Amino acid sequence: MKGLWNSAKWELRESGVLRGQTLFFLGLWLVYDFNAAASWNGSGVPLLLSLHLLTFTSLAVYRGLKWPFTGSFDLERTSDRPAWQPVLGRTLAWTVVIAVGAALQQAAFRLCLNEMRDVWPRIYSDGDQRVAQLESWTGWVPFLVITGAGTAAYVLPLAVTLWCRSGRFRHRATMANAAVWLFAVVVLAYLVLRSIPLSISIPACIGICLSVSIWLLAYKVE
Amino acid sequence: MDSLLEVRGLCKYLDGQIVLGACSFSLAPGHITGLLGPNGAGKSTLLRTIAGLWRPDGGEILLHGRPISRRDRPKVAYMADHTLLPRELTVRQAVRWYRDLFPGLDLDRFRAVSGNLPEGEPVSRLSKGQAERLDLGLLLARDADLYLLDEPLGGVDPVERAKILSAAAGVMEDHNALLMATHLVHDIEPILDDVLFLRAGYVVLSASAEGLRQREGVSVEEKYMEVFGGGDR
Repeated sequence: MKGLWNSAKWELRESGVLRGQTLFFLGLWLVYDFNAAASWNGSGVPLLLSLHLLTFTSLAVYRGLKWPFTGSFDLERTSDRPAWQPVLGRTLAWTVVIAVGAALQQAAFRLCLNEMRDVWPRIYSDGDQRVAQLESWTGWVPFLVITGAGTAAYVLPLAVTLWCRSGRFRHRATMANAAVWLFAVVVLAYLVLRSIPLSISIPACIGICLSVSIWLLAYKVE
Repeated sequence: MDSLLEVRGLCKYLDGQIVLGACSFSLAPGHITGLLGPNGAGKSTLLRTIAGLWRPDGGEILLHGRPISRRDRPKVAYMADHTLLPRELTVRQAVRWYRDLFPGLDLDRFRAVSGNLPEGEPVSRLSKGQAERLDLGLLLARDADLYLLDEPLGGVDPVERAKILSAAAGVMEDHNALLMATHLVHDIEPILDDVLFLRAGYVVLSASAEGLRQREGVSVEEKYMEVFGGGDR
């Protein structure tokens, strides 16, 4: 279990999320977000209040694509750490980071919701609808769905990249190849899974991608 | 003497081409072996396959007579021809990262081998010589049975080279072995016990360095030139 914790800890340090400068910048950005939301209250506010979450999710996708191409990935494979520990440790780390992003988003929505209920119906013709839509994004269920979707956004690129490093052209695979394959898989998954409810498709995506990643890392990756 | 590492009929194909063709050899404990051969001979592939990074397409690799299981992997310490440490971390963090991955590092030995390194500097900003000292220090600080070094002397000045070789020789005990791939035959000859010549994925010579000198009256470098076509002997 120590390997699980170490994988999670070092993933966050390598990604730069825990760096003092990054935390300071994110803190300042948070203050700016709330200030902008309180003073402006325009239609761009929900996006502005979700930027932490979007940043964390983008970083998770990038790390999922990058990790299998790093030297530390190779060095870790020469240790006695079983394949499930680095995969699960990293996934848990990004789940926590994305959950923090989702929690910030929820807190921001809740803080600004009262003012939006007051302002939006007066400045937009569909103000009530907009408020209702924003309200539907608050609460435990949306928080869990967003966190789950963010986790899936990490495990999907990870599985695709490990598959690239296991296939016939594994010795020539690059991060750019993996990104192209990821794009293709996302488009395909959207076409196939769009009719399935998120409560099924997100856990299924996480479960399948994690299992495939662990299996590839243990038996196939070179 | 029982061999520490035994490689039997090891094959590896990359993109349908043979990179290692039925390689067989063994390494004795307490010996430093030079893995020598021209570019593209398969030296790095052989080391990466023994280290477990690449999977053999045939044959077997036995450590103390048994296939290398996951639990045995830390007994094989591998150093690539470029640093594999996370480049974003500082030297101090990279040492901690390595210690989490391979517990039980001998930090005194690490300091003795790596010398003074800028601890607050990111690994990505180290010079080639500094990065090699860091890698080698961490590698030799491990209590491994087999040390695999891929071109540890490339790109470092002669003084640094002498220090690396002296550190490598200093870590050798009766229970471990060291396999070092390099082009710099002349430099490593003084510390070599055995040599392994590799050409196009095949082992063409596996012999004791002293045996070559006594039996054939040639140095390892002269034998290398003879085998790989550069010499007139």
